[in-house]
Amino acid sequence: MRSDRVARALLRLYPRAWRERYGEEILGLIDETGLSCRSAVNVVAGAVAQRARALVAWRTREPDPAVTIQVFASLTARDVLIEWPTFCALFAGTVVGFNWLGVPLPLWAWWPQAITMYFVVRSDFVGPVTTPLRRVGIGYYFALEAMALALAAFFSARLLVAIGLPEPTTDTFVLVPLAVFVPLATRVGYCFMRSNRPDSQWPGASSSEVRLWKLVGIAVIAAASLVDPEMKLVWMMTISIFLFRPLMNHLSRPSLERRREAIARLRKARVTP
Amino acid sequence: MKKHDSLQDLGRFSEPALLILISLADGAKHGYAMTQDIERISGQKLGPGTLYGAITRLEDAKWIEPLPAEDRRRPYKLTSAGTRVLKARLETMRAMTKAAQARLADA
Repeated sequence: MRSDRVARALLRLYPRAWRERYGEEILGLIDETGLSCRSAVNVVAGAVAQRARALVAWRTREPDPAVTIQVFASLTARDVLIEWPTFCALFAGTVVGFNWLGVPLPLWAWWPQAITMYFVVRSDFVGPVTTPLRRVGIGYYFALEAMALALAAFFSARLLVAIGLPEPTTDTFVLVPLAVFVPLATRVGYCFMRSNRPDSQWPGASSSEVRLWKLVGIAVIAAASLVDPEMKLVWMMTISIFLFRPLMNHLSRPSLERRREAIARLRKARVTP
Repeated sequence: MKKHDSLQDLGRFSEPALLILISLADGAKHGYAMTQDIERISGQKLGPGTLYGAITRLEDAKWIEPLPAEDRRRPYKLTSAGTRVLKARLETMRAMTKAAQARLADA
């Protein structure tokens, strides 16, 4: 029974599509042959090979223009047209205010940007869009990731000072968020996007894990805002996101429907790697 | 997925794939029966990751095909394309063996 649990855990290293196709068979085989250290290593090595193969297949697959356009359209309607002008306006406002008027834009003015950034990051365009548009989309996504990391670096450095640690040097300012936030943000980001990425190659996350990450996130932000009054800004940003979510979902219902249909088609047409 | 023409295209899975094709040459078998058969004919024990890595590639190349599953066991059978590939590979191996034996005899 224990070896079955271990085998199931090891199987989660394989791409989801592969697991759905061959998972029960390989478990049946392990059940009959037994799981030794050697066969466990063999299963892990097989998972690495399969992930590499799936990644190559995903990168070189033929795009479906209809799906591509629909998925990108849903992103365009809901996210980019809201997000990009907001960002430009805030950026221009900051530059003009600071350089020519001598009035720096208050930090809270970035709320709308944070809210819309959240909606872009949780959208699904990274997976299915496979044309030149995809490159634009992915470039945009990584730009947002970089901004999110910069914000994380800023607030983590503030937090270190607030709890009485020495002011971070340039190195720790960069390394702390890189070491802590990159793996964490990748995993958490995946948890939130998993249902929207039918061809994702990452291990699956259960709904209880998603709930856990939500609670951890809220606890961290709450603790940070208690320690550092300035961190209340982050807390308020988070509350704003949850307040705005029903409104954004309501406004974008037609594009959400289109996206759901496109994703359902993608799931149906998914190639077993 | 890239189309394969010969077993060598399967990279490090080419040898396990050859053993699987040989094992299936006398009829359909599921994973466990294949590992037993392969151990008997070659002395090699294929691990689960290697076996199913090779099965995945052989199935993608349409050299083997799955039959309806029986509980957690799913038998596979050789296709006509798989038989052709196996025959071609065995022919190459026969020529190599012949050349090697001739050279050893001369040595």
